[in-house]
Amino acid sequence: MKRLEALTAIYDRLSDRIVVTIMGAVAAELQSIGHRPNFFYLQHAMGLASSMGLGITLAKALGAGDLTTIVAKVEAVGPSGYVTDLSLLENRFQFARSLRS
Amino acid sequence: MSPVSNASSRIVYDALKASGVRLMSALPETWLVHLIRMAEEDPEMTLVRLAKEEEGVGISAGAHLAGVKSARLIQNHGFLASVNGIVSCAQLYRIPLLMLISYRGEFGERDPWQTEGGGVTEDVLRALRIPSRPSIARTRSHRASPRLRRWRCLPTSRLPCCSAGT
Repeated sequence: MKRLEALTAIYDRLSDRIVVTIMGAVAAELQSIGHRPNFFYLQHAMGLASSMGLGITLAKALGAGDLTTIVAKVEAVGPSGYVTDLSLLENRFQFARSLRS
Repeated sequence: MSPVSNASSRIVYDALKASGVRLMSALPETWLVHLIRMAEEDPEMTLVRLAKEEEGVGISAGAHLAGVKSARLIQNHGFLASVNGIVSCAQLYRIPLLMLISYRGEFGERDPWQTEGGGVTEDVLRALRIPSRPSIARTRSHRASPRLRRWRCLPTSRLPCCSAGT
């Protein structure tokens, strides 16, 4: 299974979830399927996506069962580019508004 | 003897609490031991014990986006260990980050392994354009043994390049 196919397979189940992705291909490919305000793409800060998810979970007083880290081994055919139309700060402030609404 | 006291740590803790901080992250550190215990015993405070200092940046960033104020309790070597997280997460995304840093390797330091990092701490802060403020406190016990306790309080939200978060 290709990464894009894996993301597409779970895309509908992410509609009402708070999603933090790692940087790079996953971020670009998830955006290519369709961006949502509850998606945050942690670009560049390698290794901190899971920590950010934990911070959000604790801040919103969600239960431990609400926090899921998806690690999947898939075949990789990278996207043509990693820079997307969505700017980092637009994503950041839109996501914060989504979390606080 | 540790240069920190329960009484002076209480002043710092109460100030953090009064400013609205409800989440703290920390690794074990002798100078922060009272603060960490106070956070642990406070039912209104969430304390995250870290395996690696840089994770505290991600946790604080997530908490901020969700609307909760947090603070990182770290030693200056923990600050040095988390530089990329500070730059590539907090600063890149204009996320305020409050760090309470124990300033090891300064005057009165007994551990010889602390001085190398102590000597570069302020230069690294300046290089990262992080505004900092030293806090020097003396307690009664320190008058007999004059030893300074120094903290650095670093709100990156004061960065001129930072848009107003909260």
